[in-house]
Amino acid sequence: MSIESTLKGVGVAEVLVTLKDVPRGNTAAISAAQSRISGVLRHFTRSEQSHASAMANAAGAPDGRRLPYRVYKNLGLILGTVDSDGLARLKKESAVKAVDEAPVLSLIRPVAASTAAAPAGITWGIKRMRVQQLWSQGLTGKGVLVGHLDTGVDGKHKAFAGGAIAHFAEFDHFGDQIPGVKPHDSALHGTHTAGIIVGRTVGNSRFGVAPGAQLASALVIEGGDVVARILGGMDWIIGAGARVLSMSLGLRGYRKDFLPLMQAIRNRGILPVIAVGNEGPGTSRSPGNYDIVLSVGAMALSNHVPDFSSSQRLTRPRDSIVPDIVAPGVNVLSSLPHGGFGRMSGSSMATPHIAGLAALLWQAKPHATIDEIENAIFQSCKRPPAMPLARANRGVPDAVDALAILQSGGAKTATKVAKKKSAAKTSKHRRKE
Amino acid sequence: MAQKRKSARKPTVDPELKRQLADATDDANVQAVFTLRTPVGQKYLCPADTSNVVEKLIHEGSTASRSSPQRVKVFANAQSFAVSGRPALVRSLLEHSEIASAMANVQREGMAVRPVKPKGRTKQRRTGLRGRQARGTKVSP
Repeated sequence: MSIESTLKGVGVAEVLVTLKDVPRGNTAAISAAQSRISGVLRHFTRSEQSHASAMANAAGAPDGRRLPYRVYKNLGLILGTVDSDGLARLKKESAVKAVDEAPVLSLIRPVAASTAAAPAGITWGIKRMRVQQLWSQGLTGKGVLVGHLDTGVDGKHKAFAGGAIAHFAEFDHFGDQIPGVKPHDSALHGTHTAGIIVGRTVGNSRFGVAPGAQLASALVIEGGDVVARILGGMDWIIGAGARVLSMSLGLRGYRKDFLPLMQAIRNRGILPVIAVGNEGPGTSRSPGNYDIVLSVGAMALSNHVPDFSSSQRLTRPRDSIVPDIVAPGVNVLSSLPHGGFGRMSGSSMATPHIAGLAALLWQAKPHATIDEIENAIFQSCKRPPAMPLARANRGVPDAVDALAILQSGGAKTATKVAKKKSAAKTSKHRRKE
Repeated sequence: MAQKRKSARKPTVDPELKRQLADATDDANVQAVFTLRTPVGQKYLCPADTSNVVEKLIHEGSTASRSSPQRVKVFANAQSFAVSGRPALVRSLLEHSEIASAMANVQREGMAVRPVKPKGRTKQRRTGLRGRQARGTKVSP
Protein backbone atom coordinates (compact mmCIF):
# COMPACT_ATOMS: atom_id res chain seq x y z
CA MET A 1 0.00 0.00 0.00
CA SER A 2 1.58 3.36 -1.00
CA ILE A 3 0.96 6.83 0.42
CA GLU A 4 -0.31 7.94 -2.98
CA SER A 5 -2.92 5.19 -3.28
CA THR A 6 -4.16 5.90 0.25
CA LEU A 7 -4.44 9.61 -0.55
CA LYS A 8 -6.42 8.80 -3.67
CA GLY A 9 -8.86 6.48 -1.93
CA VAL A 10 -9.19 8.05 1.50
CA GLY A 11 -8.09 11.68 0.97
CA VAL A 12 -5.55 11.66 3.77
CA ALA A 13 -2.75 9.32 4.82
CA GLU A 14 -0.85 8.57 8.01
CA VAL A 15 2.87 9.22 7.49
CA LEU A 16 6.02 8.78 9.49
CA VAL A 17 8.42 11.71 9.11
CA THR A 18 12.08 11.17 9.90
CA LEU A 19 13.79 14.41 10.88
CA LYS A 20 17.35 15.26 10.06
CA ASP A 21 19.78 14.89 12.95
CA VAL A 22 19.92 17.87 15.28
CA PRO A 23 23.50 18.79 16.17
CA ARG A 24 24.31 18.08 19.81
CA GLY A 25 25.63 20.80 22.14
CA ASN A 26 25.26 23.64 19.67
CA THR A 27 22.52 25.80 21.25
CA ALA A 28 22.05 28.01 18.21
CA ALA A 29 21.77 25.00 15.90
CA ILE A 30 19.27 23.30 18.23
CA SER A 31 17.19 26.45 18.36
CA ALA A 32 17.22 26.75 14.58
CA ALA A 33 16.30 23.09 14.20
CA GLN A 34 13.38 23.43 16.61
CA SER A 35 12.15 26.39 14.63
CA ARG A 36 12.28 24.34 11.47
CA ILE A 37 10.35 21.52 13.18
CA SER A 38 7.61 23.98 14.08
CA GLY A 39 7.39 24.73 10.38
CA VAL A 40 7.09 21.04 9.61
CA LEU A 41 4.12 20.63 11.94
CA ARG A 42 2.03 23.12 9.93
CA HIS A 43 1.80 20.67 7.07
CA PHE A 44 -0.22 18.09 8.99
CA THR A 45 -3.96 18.25 8.73
CA ARG A 46 -6.89 17.37 10.95
CA SER A 47 -9.38 15.24 9.04
CA GLU A 48 -12.47 13.20 9.77
CA GLN A 49 -11.04 10.62 7.42
CA SER A 50 -7.96 10.05 9.54
CA HIS A 51 -7.66 6.87 11.49
CA ALA A 52 -7.12 8.77 14.75
CA SER A 53 -10.25 10.86 14.21
CA ALA A 54 -12.35 7.82 13.40
CA MET A 55 -11.12 6.11 16.56
CA ALA A 56 -11.91 9.20 18.66
CA ASN A 57 -15.37 9.55 17.16
CA ALA A 58 -16.15 5.88 17.69
CA ALA A 59 -15.15 6.23 21.33
CA GLY A 60 -17.33 9.32 21.67
CA ALA A 61 -14.29 11.49 22.44
CA PRO A 62 -14.21 15.17 21.44
CA ASP A 63 -12.06 15.63 18.36
CA GLY A 64 -11.56 19.39 18.44
CA ARG A 65 -8.44 19.72 20.56
CA ARG A 66 -6.54 16.73 19.26
CA LEU A 67 -3.46 17.54 17.23
CA PRO A 68 -3.11 15.87 13.83
CA TYR A 69 0.43 14.78 14.65
CA ARG A 70 2.51 13.33 17.43
CA VAL A 71 6.18 14.26 17.90
CA TYR A 72 8.63 11.68 19.21
CA LYS A 73 11.49 14.00 20.13
CA ASN A 74 13.91 11.36 21.31
CA LEU A 75 13.45 9.32 18.19
CA GLY A 76 13.48 12.28 15.81
CA LEU A 77 10.16 11.13 14.33
CA ILE A 78 6.74 12.66 13.74
CA LEU A 79 3.66 10.55 13.13
CA GLY A 80 0.79 12.45 11.59
CA THR A 81 -1.97 12.85 9.03
CA VAL A 82 -1.41 14.65 5.73
CA ASP A 83 -3.35 15.43 2.59
CA SER A 84 -1.77 15.63 -0.88
CA ASP A 85 -0.67 19.26 -0.53
CA GLY A 86 0.71 18.67 2.95
CA LEU A 87 2.71 15.71 1.72
CA ALA A 88 4.24 17.75 -1.09
CA ARG A 89 5.17 20.54 1.34
CA LEU A 90 6.59 18.11 3.88
CA LYS A 91 8.91 16.61 1.31
CA LYS A 92 10.33 20.06 0.57
CA GLU A 93 11.07 20.93 4.21
CA SER A 94 14.77 21.26 5.00
CA ALA A 95 14.36 19.64 8.43
CA VAL A 96 12.82 16.49 6.92
CA LYS A 97 15.03 13.56 6.04
CA ALA A 98 12.33 11.15 4.82
CA VAL A 99 8.56 10.74 4.61
CA ASP A 100 7.30 7.17 4.70
CA GLU A 101 3.95 5.54 4.99
CA ALA A 102 3.13 4.97 8.65
CA PRO A 103 3.72 1.30 9.37
CA VAL A 104 0.57 -0.68 10.04
CA LEU A 105 1.41 -2.97 12.88
CA SER A 106 -1.04 -5.66 13.68
CA LEU A 107 -1.23 -8.38 16.23
CA ILE A 108 -1.45 -11.94 15.15
CA ARG A 109 -4.83 -12.22 16.70
CA PRO A 110 -5.96 -15.30 18.53
CA VAL A 111 -8.79 -17.15 16.90
CA ALA A 112 -11.59 -16.10 19.19
CA ALA A 113 -13.43 -19.36 18.99
CA SER A 114 -14.97 -21.05 21.95
CA THR A 115 -16.51 -24.46 21.93
CA ALA A 116 -20.13 -24.59 22.96
CA ALA A 117 -23.10 -26.84 22.95
CA ALA A 118 -25.22 -26.79 19.83
CA PRO A 119 -27.45 -23.76 19.88
CA ALA A 120 -30.77 -24.37 21.57
CA GLY A 121 -33.39 -23.30 19.06
CA ILE A 122 -32.59 -20.43 16.72
CA THR A 123 -29.41 -18.33 16.98
CA TRP A 124 -29.66 -14.65 17.91
CA GLY A 125 -28.43 -13.46 14.53
CA ILE A 126 -31.22 -15.22 12.66
CA LYS A 127 -33.82 -13.85 15.07
CA ARG A 128 -32.35 -10.34 14.84
CA MET A 129 -32.82 -10.30 11.09
CA ARG A 130 -36.27 -12.02 11.37
CA VAL A 131 -35.11 -14.76 9.02
CA GLN A 132 -37.29 -17.45 10.63
CA GLN A 133 -40.38 -15.68 9.30
CA LEU A 134 -39.15 -16.35 5.78
CA TRP A 135 -38.63 -20.02 6.66
CA SER A 136 -42.27 -20.21 7.75
CA GLN A 137 -43.19 -19.11 4.22
CA GLY A 138 -41.21 -22.03 2.81
CA LEU A 139 -38.12 -20.02 1.90
CA THR A 140 -34.92 -21.87 2.79
CA GLY A 141 -32.69 -20.95 -0.14
CA LYS A 142 -33.56 -24.16 -1.98
CA GLY A 143 -32.24 -24.16 -5.52
CA VAL A 144 -29.71 -21.39 -4.87
CA LEU A 145 -25.96 -22.04 -5.00
CA VAL A 146 -23.77 -19.85 -2.79
CA GLY A 147 -20.03 -19.48 -3.46
CA HIS A 148 -17.86 -19.72 -0.35
CA LEU A 149 -14.15 -18.82 -0.43
CA ASP A 150 -12.59 -19.72 2.90
CA THR A 151 -10.50 -22.31 4.72
CA GLY A 152 -12.73 -25.07 3.36
CA VAL A 153 -15.52 -26.90 5.15
CA ASP A 154 -15.79 -30.11 7.17
CA GLY A 155 -18.11 -32.07 4.90
CA LYS A 156 -18.72 -34.76 7.52
CA HIS A 157 -20.39 -32.38 9.97
CA LYS A 158 -24.10 -33.04 10.54
CA ALA A 159 -24.76 -29.43 9.68
CA PHE A 160 -23.97 -30.21 6.05
CA ALA A 161 -25.87 -33.49 5.71
CA GLY A 162 -28.19 -33.95 2.77
CA GLY A 163 -26.08 -32.41 0.06
CA ALA A 164 -25.43 -28.98 1.56
CA ILE A 165 -21.96 -29.00 0.01
CA ALA A 166 -22.77 -29.35 -3.66
CA HIS A 167 -19.20 -28.68 -4.82
CA PHE A 168 -15.84 -28.51 -3.09
CA ALA A 169 -12.39 -27.67 -4.42
CA GLU A 170 -8.94 -26.87 -3.08
CA PHE A 171 -6.41 -24.78 -4.96
CA ASP A 172 -2.63 -24.69 -4.91
CA HIS A 173 -0.54 -21.53 -4.68
CA PHE A 174 -0.69 -20.93 -8.41
CA GLY A 175 -4.46 -21.34 -8.64
CA ASP A 176 -4.51 -24.91 -9.97
CA GLN A 177 -7.21 -27.16 -8.60
CA ILE A 178 -5.86 -30.05 -6.53
CA PRO A 179 -7.50 -33.24 -7.79
CA GLY A 180 -9.30 -35.78 -5.65
CA VAL A 181 -9.86 -33.77 -2.48
CA LYS A 182 -12.90 -34.23 -0.25
CA PRO A 183 -14.55 -31.40 1.71
CA HIS A 184 -12.26 -30.57 4.61
CA ASP A 185 -11.22 -27.51 6.61
CA SER A 186 -7.61 -26.39 6.94
CA ALA A 187 -8.59 -24.45 10.09
CA LEU A 188 -11.92 -23.64 11.81
CA HIS A 189 -13.12 -20.56 10.04
CA GLY A 190 -14.63 -22.07 6.89
CA THR A 191 -16.78 -24.65 8.68
CA HIS A 192 -18.13 -21.86 10.89
CA THR A 193 -19.00 -19.45 8.06
CA ALA A 194 -20.41 -22.27 5.92
CA GLY A 195 -22.67 -23.25 8.82
CA ILE A 196 -24.03 -19.70 9.05
CA ILE A 197 -24.91 -19.74 5.35
CA VAL A 198 -26.37 -23.21 4.78
CA GLY A 199 -26.19 -25.10 8.10
CA ARG A 200 -28.99 -27.68 8.31
CA THR A 201 -31.06 -28.14 11.42
CA VAL A 202 -29.23 -30.37 13.95
CA GLY A 203 -31.60 -31.61 16.65
CA ASN A 204 -33.52 -28.46 17.44
CA SER A 205 -30.54 -26.23 16.62
CA ARG A 206 -31.07 -23.77 13.80
CA PHE A 207 -28.06 -21.63 12.89
CA GLY A 208 -27.98 -21.63 9.07
CA VAL A 209 -29.70 -18.65 7.47
CA ALA A 210 -30.48 -20.56 4.26
CA PRO A 211 -30.69 -24.21 5.37
CA GLY A 212 -32.04 -25.34 2.00
CA ALA A 213 -29.36 -23.65 -0.13
CA GLN A 214 -26.21 -25.35 -1.37
CA LEU A 215 -22.57 -24.34 -1.23
CA ALA A 216 -19.78 -24.30 -3.75
CA SER A 217 -16.94 -24.10 -1.25
CA ALA A 218 -13.31 -23.47 -2.20
CA LEU A 219 -10.36 -23.87 0.15
CA VAL A 220 -8.18 -20.88 -0.68
CA ILE A 221 -6.69 -19.67 2.61
CA GLU A 222 -4.43 -20.91 5.39
CA GLY A 223 -1.01 -22.15 4.45
CA GLY A 224 -0.19 -19.11 2.34
CA ASP A 225 -2.23 -16.11 1.28
CA VAL A 226 -1.63 -15.87 -2.42
CA VAL A 227 -3.75 -14.07 -4.96
CA ALA A 228 -3.76 -16.78 -7.65
CA ARG A 229 -5.18 -19.27 -5.17
CA ILE A 230 -8.10 -16.97 -4.44
CA LEU A 231 -8.58 -16.23 -8.14
CA GLY A 232 -8.62 -19.96 -8.80
CA GLY A 233 -11.46 -20.27 -6.30
CA MET A 234 -13.39 -17.36 -7.82
CA ASP A 235 -12.97 -18.74 -11.32
CA TRP A 236 -14.26 -22.12 -10.19
CA ILE A 237 -17.22 -20.61 -8.33
CA ILE A 238 -18.29 -18.64 -11.41
CA GLY A 239 -18.11 -21.86 -13.44
CA ALA A 240 -20.15 -23.72 -10.82
CA GLY A 241 -23.04 -21.27 -11.31
CA ALA A 242 -23.12 -19.57 -7.90
CA ARG A 243 -25.39 -16.54 -7.52
CA VAL A 244 -23.75 -15.15 -4.39
CA LEU A 245 -20.07 -14.97 -3.44
CA SER A 246 -19.41 -14.93 0.32
CA MET A 247 -15.84 -13.93 1.07
CA SER A 248 -14.05 -12.83 4.22
CA LEU A 249 -10.77 -11.90 2.57
CA GLY A 250 -9.08 -8.63 1.72
CA LEU A 251 -5.96 -6.52 1.81
CA ARG A 252 -5.79 -3.62 4.24
CA GLY A 253 -6.52 -0.13 2.96
CA TYR A 254 -8.15 1.01 -0.27
CA ARG A 255 -6.50 -0.67 -3.24
CA LYS A 256 -7.88 -0.69 -6.74
CA ASP A 257 -6.21 -3.95 -7.72
CA PHE A 258 -9.30 -6.12 -7.25
CA LEU A 259 -11.70 -3.64 -8.87
CA PRO A 260 -11.74 -5.06 -12.45
CA LEU A 261 -12.14 -8.57 -11.05
CA MET A 262 -15.06 -7.64 -8.79
CA GLN A 263 -16.68 -5.77 -11.66
CA ALA A 264 -16.37 -8.84 -13.87
CA ILE A 265 -17.92 -11.00 -11.14
CA ARG A 266 -20.80 -8.57 -10.67
CA ASN A 267 -21.33 -8.28 -14.42
CA ARG A 268 -21.72 -12.05 -14.51
CA GLY A 269 -24.71 -11.75 -12.20
CA ILE A 270 -22.96 -12.86 -9.01
CA LEU A 271 -23.52 -10.74 -5.92
CA PRO A 272 -20.19 -10.27 -4.09
CA VAL A 273 -20.83 -10.12 -0.32
CA ILE A 274 -17.52 -9.18 1.29
CA ALA A 275 -16.36 -8.59 4.88
CA VAL A 276 -15.10 -5.05 5.54
CA GLY A 277 -12.42 -6.08 8.07
CA ASN A 278 -11.74 -6.39 11.78
CA GLU A 279 -9.33 -3.51 12.37
CA GLY A 280 -11.78 -1.00 13.85
CA PRO A 281 -12.89 2.55 12.99
CA GLY A 282 -10.97 4.38 10.27
CA THR A 283 -9.95 1.17 8.53
CA SER A 284 -11.24 -1.09 5.79
CA ARG A 285 -10.04 -3.77 3.42
CA SER A 286 -10.22 -4.18 -0.33
CA PRO A 287 -12.30 -5.51 -2.03
CA GLY A 288 -14.71 -5.13 0.94
CA ASN A 289 -14.55 -1.33 0.59
CA TYR A 290 -15.56 -1.12 -3.10
CA ASP A 291 -18.87 0.43 -4.05
CA ILE A 292 -19.59 -2.50 -6.39
CA VAL A 293 -19.64 -5.10 -3.59
CA LEU A 294 -22.04 -5.52 -0.70
CA SER A 295 -19.77 -4.60 2.17
CA VAL A 296 -20.62 -6.03 5.60
CA GLY A 297 -19.55 -5.06 9.12
CA ALA A 298 -20.38 -6.66 12.45
CA MET A 299 -22.98 -5.83 15.10
CA ALA A 300 -23.58 -7.24 18.57
CA LEU A 301 -26.76 -8.52 20.22
CA SER A 302 -26.79 -5.26 22.22
CA ASN A 303 -27.37 -3.34 18.95
CA HIS A 304 -23.90 -1.81 19.09
CA VAL A 305 -21.17 -1.96 16.49
CA PRO A 306 -18.26 -3.72 18.25
CA ASP A 307 -14.91 -1.93 18.48
CA PHE A 308 -13.21 -4.34 16.11
CA SER A 309 -15.58 -3.90 13.17
CA SER A 310 -13.94 -1.82 10.44
CA SER A 311 -15.55 1.32 9.04
CA GLN A 312 -14.22 4.16 6.94
CA ARG A 313 -15.28 7.24 5.01
CA LEU A 314 -13.69 7.23 1.55
CA THR A 315 -13.19 10.11 -0.88
CA ARG A 316 -15.54 8.84 -3.59
CA PRO A 317 -18.47 11.22 -4.06
CA ARG A 318 -21.24 8.67 -3.61
CA ASP A 319 -21.59 5.73 -1.31
CA SER A 320 -18.56 6.95 0.58
CA ILE A 321 -19.10 5.10 3.85
CA VAL A 322 -18.15 1.48 4.33
CA PRO A 323 -19.49 -0.97 5.33
CA ASP A 324 -22.80 -0.75 3.47
CA ILE A 325 -24.60 -2.55 6.28
CA VAL A 326 -23.93 -4.43 9.51
CA ALA A 327 -25.10 -7.91 10.48
CA PRO A 328 -24.76 -10.22 13.49
CA GLY A 329 -21.06 -10.75 14.09
CA VAL A 330 -20.42 -11.11 17.82
CA ASN A 331 -20.54 -14.45 19.64
CA VAL A 332 -22.13 -16.14 16.67
CA LEU A 333 -22.79 -19.84 17.20
CA SER A 334 -22.20 -22.17 14.30
CA SER A 335 -20.54 -25.41 13.32
CA LEU A 336 -16.86 -26.22 13.94
CA PRO A 337 -14.82 -29.06 12.41
CA HIS A 338 -15.08 -32.59 13.84
CA GLY A 339 -18.79 -32.31 14.61
CA GLY A 340 -18.58 -29.54 17.18
CA PHE A 341 -20.09 -26.12 17.63
CA GLY A 342 -18.61 -22.86 18.79
CA ARG A 343 -18.83 -19.10 18.91
CA MET A 344 -16.78 -16.74 16.79
CA SER A 345 -16.79 -12.97 16.34
CA GLY A 346 -15.86 -10.87 13.35
CA SER A 347 -17.15 -9.22 10.21
CA SER A 348 -16.47 -12.59 8.62
CA MET A 349 -19.33 -13.99 10.75
CA ALA A 350 -21.61 -11.11 9.69
CA THR A 351 -20.90 -11.63 5.97
CA PRO A 352 -22.40 -15.15 5.67
CA HIS A 353 -25.61 -13.93 7.35
CA ILE A 354 -26.08 -11.59 4.37
CA ALA A 355 -25.04 -14.20 1.82
CA GLY A 356 -27.68 -16.51 3.31
CA LEU A 357 -30.31 -13.78 3.22
CA ALA A 358 -29.54 -13.15 -0.47
CA ALA A 359 -30.08 -16.87 -1.13
CA LEU A 360 -33.51 -16.75 0.54
CA LEU A 361 -34.51 -13.74 -1.54
CA TRP A 362 -33.35 -15.39 -4.74
CA GLN A 363 -35.45 -18.44 -4.00
CA ALA A 364 -38.44 -16.13 -3.60
CA LYS A 365 -37.71 -14.39 -6.89
CA PRO A 366 -35.37 -16.53 -8.99
CA HIS A 367 -35.18 -14.07 -11.88
CA ALA A 368 -34.31 -11.07 -9.73
CA THR A 369 -31.17 -9.19 -10.74
CA ILE A 370 -28.32 -8.67 -8.32
CA ASP A 371 -29.28 -5.00 -8.11
CA GLU A 372 -32.81 -5.95 -7.03
CA ILE A 373 -31.53 -8.33 -4.35
CA GLU A 374 -29.00 -5.80 -3.10
CA ASN A 375 -31.52 -2.95 -3.13
CA ALA A 376 -34.12 -5.01 -1.26
CA ILE A 377 -31.53 -5.72 1.44
CA PHE A 378 -30.42 -2.07 1.60
CA GLN A 379 -33.93 -0.66 1.68
CA SER A 380 -34.93 -3.02 4.48
CA CYS A 381 -32.17 -1.74 6.75
CA LYS A 382 -32.86 0.14 9.96
CA ARG A 383 -30.19 1.74 12.09
CA PRO A 384 -30.78 1.62 15.85
CA PRO A 385 -29.94 4.81 17.80
CA ALA A 386 -26.83 3.23 19.33
CA MET A 387 -25.25 2.80 15.91
CA PRO A 388 -23.58 5.90 14.45
CA LEU A 389 -23.96 6.41 10.72
CA ALA A 390 -20.19 6.33 10.26
CA ARG A 391 -19.97 2.88 11.86
CA ALA A 392 -23.12 1.14 10.63
CA ASN A 393 -24.12 3.13 7.52
CA ARG A 394 -27.60 1.86 6.59
CA GLY A 395 -27.85 -0.36 9.64
CA VAL A 396 -29.23 -3.88 9.99
CA PRO A 397 -31.31 -5.60 7.28
CA ASP A 398 -34.71 -7.06 8.03
CA ALA A 399 -35.52 -10.24 6.10
CA VAL A 400 -39.30 -9.75 6.20
CA ASP A 401 -39.09 -6.19 4.87
CA ALA A 402 -36.50 -7.16 2.26
CA LEU A 403 -38.81 -9.85 0.90
CA ALA A 404 -41.77 -7.46 0.83
CA ILE A 405 -39.72 -4.83 -1.02
CA LEU A 406 -38.47 -7.40 -3.52
CA GLN A 407 -41.94 -8.81 -4.18
CA SER A 408 -43.55 -5.40 -4.51
CA GLY A 409 -41.06 -4.43 -7.22
CA GLY A 410 -39.69 -1.66 -5.03
CA ALA A 411 -36.12 -2.87 -5.37
CA LYS A 412 -35.78 -2.23 -9.09
CA THR A 413 -34.10 1.14 -8.71
CA ALA A 414 -30.49 1.19 -9.89
CA THR A 415 -28.09 0.27 -7.12
CA LYS A 416 -26.25 3.56 -6.85
CA VAL A 417 -29.43 5.59 -6.80
CA ALA A 418 -30.97 3.24 -4.30
CA LYS A 419 -27.89 3.46 -2.13
CA LYS A 420 -28.10 7.24 -2.21
CA LYS A 421 -31.81 7.24 -1.39
CA SER A 422 -31.29 4.74 1.35
CA ALA A 423 -28.56 6.84 2.92
CA ALA A 424 -30.81 9.89 2.78
CA LYS A 425 -33.64 7.90 4.30
CA THR A 426 -31.35 6.72 7.05
CA SER A 427 -30.24 10.25 7.85
CA LYS A 428 -33.88 11.34 7.97
CA HIS A 429 -34.69 8.43 10.25
CA ARG A 430 -31.83 9.45 12.51
CA ARG A 431 -32.97 13.07 12.68
CA LYS A 432 -36.43 11.96 13.77
CA GLU A 433 -34.86 10.08 16.64
CA MET B 1 -6.11 -8.61 -30.69
CA ALA B 2 -3.31 -7.93 -28.26
CA GLN B 3 -1.92 -4.47 -28.80
CA LYS B 4 0.88 -2.48 -27.29
CA ARG B 5 -0.38 0.58 -25.51
CA LYS B 6 0.25 3.95 -27.10
CA SER B 7 -1.70 6.41 -25.05
CA ALA B 8 -4.20 4.08 -23.40
CA ARG B 9 -4.89 4.06 -19.66
CA LYS B 10 -2.28 2.39 -17.54
CA PRO B 11 -3.22 -0.70 -15.58
CA THR B 12 -3.56 -0.54 -11.81
CA VAL B 13 -0.39 -2.15 -10.50
CA ASP B 14 -0.15 -3.43 -6.95
CA PRO B 15 2.65 -1.67 -4.99
CA GLU B 16 3.88 -5.07 -3.85
CA LEU B 17 4.34 -6.16 -7.47
CA LYS B 18 6.21 -2.92 -8.20
CA ARG B 19 8.45 -3.60 -5.22
CA GLN B 20 9.10 -7.20 -6.28
CA LEU B 21 9.92 -6.09 -9.83
CA ALA B 22 12.27 -3.40 -8.55
CA ASP B 23 14.05 -5.81 -6.23
CA ALA B 24 14.27 -8.78 -8.59
CA THR B 25 17.46 -9.62 -10.45
CA ASP B 26 17.13 -10.24 -14.19
CA ASP B 27 17.22 -14.00 -13.79
CA ALA B 28 14.79 -14.16 -10.86
CA ASN B 29 11.23 -15.42 -11.16
CA VAL B 30 8.35 -13.12 -10.36
CA GLN B 31 4.78 -14.36 -9.95
CA ALA B 32 2.07 -11.94 -11.02
CA VAL B 33 -1.68 -12.11 -11.44
CA PHE B 34 -3.38 -10.06 -14.17
CA THR B 35 -7.02 -9.17 -14.78
CA LEU B 36 -8.03 -8.23 -18.31
CA ARG B 37 -9.96 -5.13 -19.26
CA THR B 38 -13.56 -5.61 -20.37
CA PRO B 39 -13.96 -4.37 -23.96
CA VAL B 40 -16.23 -1.36 -24.42
CA GLY B 41 -19.83 -2.44 -25.02
CA GLN B 42 -19.40 -5.83 -23.35
CA LYS B 43 -20.32 -6.84 -19.80
CA TYR B 44 -17.40 -9.22 -19.47
CA LEU B 45 -14.96 -11.26 -21.53
CA CYS B 46 -16.28 -14.73 -22.26
CA PRO B 47 -13.97 -17.63 -21.29
CA ALA B 48 -12.92 -18.36 -24.88
CA ASP B 49 -11.97 -14.72 -25.51
CA THR B 50 -10.06 -14.60 -22.22
CA SER B 51 -8.02 -17.64 -23.25
CA ASN B 52 -7.31 -16.18 -26.69
CA VAL B 53 -6.23 -12.80 -25.32
CA VAL B 54 -3.95 -14.43 -22.74
CA GLU B 55 -2.36 -16.63 -25.39
CA LYS B 56 -1.58 -13.62 -27.57
CA LEU B 57 -0.33 -11.52 -24.66
CA ILE B 58 2.01 -14.28 -23.52
CA HIS B 59 3.28 -14.78 -27.08
CA GLU B 60 3.93 -11.08 -27.59
CA GLY B 61 5.35 -10.62 -24.12
CA SER B 62 7.72 -13.56 -24.59
CA THR B 63 8.88 -12.26 -27.92
CA ALA B 64 9.44 -8.74 -26.65
CA SER B 65 11.24 -9.84 -23.50
CA ARG B 66 12.98 -12.84 -25.07
CA SER B 67 11.84 -14.86 -22.12
CA SER B 68 9.27 -17.64 -21.90
CA PRO B 69 7.05 -17.96 -18.87
CA GLN B 70 7.86 -20.70 -16.41
CA ARG B 71 4.19 -21.25 -15.66
CA VAL B 72 0.89 -19.79 -16.84
CA LYS B 73 -2.57 -20.37 -15.38
CA VAL B 74 -5.63 -18.95 -17.13
CA PHE B 75 -8.72 -18.18 -15.03
CA ALA B 76 -11.05 -18.05 -18.01
CA ASN B 77 -14.25 -17.39 -16.04
CA ALA B 78 -12.62 -14.70 -13.93
CA GLN B 79 -11.11 -12.84 -16.91
CA SER B 80 -7.67 -13.24 -15.34
CA PHE B 81 -4.40 -15.16 -15.52
CA ALA B 82 -1.31 -15.85 -13.44
CA VAL B 83 2.26 -15.90 -14.74
CA SER B 84 5.53 -17.00 -13.24
CA GLY B 85 8.46 -15.67 -15.22
CA ARG B 86 11.38 -13.29 -15.53
CA PRO B 87 10.85 -9.65 -14.52
CA ALA B 88 11.28 -8.58 -18.16
CA LEU B 89 8.32 -10.71 -19.20
CA VAL B 90 6.10 -9.34 -16.44
CA ARG B 91 7.10 -5.75 -17.30
CA SER B 92 6.39 -6.44 -20.95
CA LEU B 93 2.90 -7.74 -20.12
CA LEU B 94 2.19 -4.57 -18.14
CA GLU B 95 2.67 -2.56 -21.34
CA HIS B 96 -0.40 -4.03 -23.00
CA SER B 97 -3.65 -2.12 -23.06
CA GLU B 98 -5.67 -5.28 -22.41
CA ILE B 99 -4.39 -5.45 -18.85
CA ALA B 100 -6.69 -3.75 -16.34
CA SER B 101 -4.82 -4.61 -13.15
CA ALA B 102 -1.83 -6.57 -11.96
CA MET B 103 -0.89 -7.87 -8.52
CA ALA B 104 1.94 -9.78 -6.98
CA ASN B 105 0.78 -13.34 -6.45
CA VAL B 106 2.58 -13.64 -3.14
CA GLN B 107 1.58 -10.86 -0.78
CA ARG B 108 3.51 -9.85 2.31
CA GLU B 109 0.29 -9.24 4.18
CA GLY B 110 -2.26 -11.89 5.10
CA MET B 111 -5.62 -11.60 3.37
CA ALA B 112 -7.83 -13.49 5.81
CA VAL B 113 -10.25 -11.41 7.86
CA ARG B 114 -9.63 -13.32 11.04
CA PRO B 115 -12.09 -13.68 13.89
CA VAL B 116 -11.44 -11.51 16.91
CA LYS B 117 -12.10 -11.58 20.61
CA PRO B 118 -14.66 -8.85 21.34
CA LYS B 119 -14.14 -6.61 24.36
CA GLY B 120 -16.94 -6.25 26.92
CA ARG B 121 -20.68 -6.39 26.34
CA THR B 122 -20.62 -10.16 26.03
CA LYS B 123 -22.59 -12.10 28.53
CA GLN B 124 -21.87 -15.59 27.30
CA ARG B 125 -19.22 -17.53 29.12
CA ARG B 126 -16.31 -18.53 26.92
CA THR B 127 -14.00 -21.44 27.31
CA GLY B 128 -10.70 -21.79 25.52
CA LEU B 129 -10.95 -23.97 22.46
CA ARG B 130 -7.29 -24.80 22.42
CA GLY B 131 -7.34 -26.08 25.98
CA ARG B 132 -10.29 -28.30 25.26
CA GLN B 133 -8.80 -29.55 22.06
CA ALA B 134 -5.55 -30.24 23.87
CA ARG B 135 -7.47 -32.41 26.32
CA GLY B 136 -9.21 -34.14 23.47
CA THR B 137 -12.62 -32.91 24.54
CA LYS B 138 -15.11 -32.30 21.81
CA VAL B 139 -18.40 -30.60 22.32
CA SER B 140 -20.96 -32.17 20.08
CA PRO B 141 -24.68 -31.74 19.77
